[in-house]
Amino acid sequence: MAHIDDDQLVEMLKSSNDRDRGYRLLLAKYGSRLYWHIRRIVVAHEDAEDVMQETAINILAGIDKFEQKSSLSTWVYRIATNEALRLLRRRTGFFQSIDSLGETLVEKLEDEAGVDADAAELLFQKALLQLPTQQRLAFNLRYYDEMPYEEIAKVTGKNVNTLKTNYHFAVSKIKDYLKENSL
Amino acid sequence: MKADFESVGKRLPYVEPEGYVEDLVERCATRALHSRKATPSSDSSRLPRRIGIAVTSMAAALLAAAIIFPAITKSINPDRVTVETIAQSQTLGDVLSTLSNDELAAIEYYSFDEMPTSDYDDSEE
Repeated sequence: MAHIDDDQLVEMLKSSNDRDRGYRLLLAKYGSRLYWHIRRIVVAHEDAEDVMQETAINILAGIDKFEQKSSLSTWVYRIATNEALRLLRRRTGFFQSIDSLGETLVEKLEDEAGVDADAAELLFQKALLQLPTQQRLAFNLRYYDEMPYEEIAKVTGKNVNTLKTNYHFAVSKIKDYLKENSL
Repeated sequence: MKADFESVGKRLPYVEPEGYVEDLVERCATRALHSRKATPSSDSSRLPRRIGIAVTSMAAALLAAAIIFPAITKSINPDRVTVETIAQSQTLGDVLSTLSNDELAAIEYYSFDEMPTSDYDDSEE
């Protein structure tokens, strides 16, 4: 795919003639990153597919409301994050927090990884799934997606200082978990 | 294993086949575009539907009230007797027959001459 910058994409998305083409190019540019971002949150492949579909629908439905107050990538990440968290909430009981899904997600991780999975990679992912959702989210966006805190703040709706604290605690807990469970 | 997660890198313990994610994204985009075309959601098409829902809801509420209200009233006061019911079902004789002799004697009947007349009586004196 030829490189196309976000300004050109926005221009296409706002034009009634080029909208569909712009939308396909937008997903071609960010879709793969969004999929892996979603997958890291919901873990199971089938869930990630469902969330990816909902994200694609919501992006298309929201194009008219996109006012360029944030960057295009922030906007699509925000939609994907909200959809992934919505799916996790559906999996919880009435008074249950999504933070309590850690064990369930670890089981899914083991199912998905299979017996041939790299032990270190598996342990690292288990360490991540012990974290509260907000810390896990801050860690994922910072470590895997290499987003600046200001952008993560726009994706998650949290303030920058809270996110820095979340990331700091996440790193510390992951290190402790790896120490305690090292092979 | 080192306690540093940086040594693990960014790999995940599962992979998808080459090109799978790109195909998935393409399919999602196509389905989203088709579903939008299949269900146009312009305001003009939504408005009559909303009015229809509101009217149906109001009609259902009125119907429910019409059924439930008399049923509740009847269950609270099953032998409900109104003044009109008494007037229609009992003659003056029936009422007087329930009174004791003393009660009957205590009733002072008007004589014809003493019958009160209306202030607006237009008959000539």
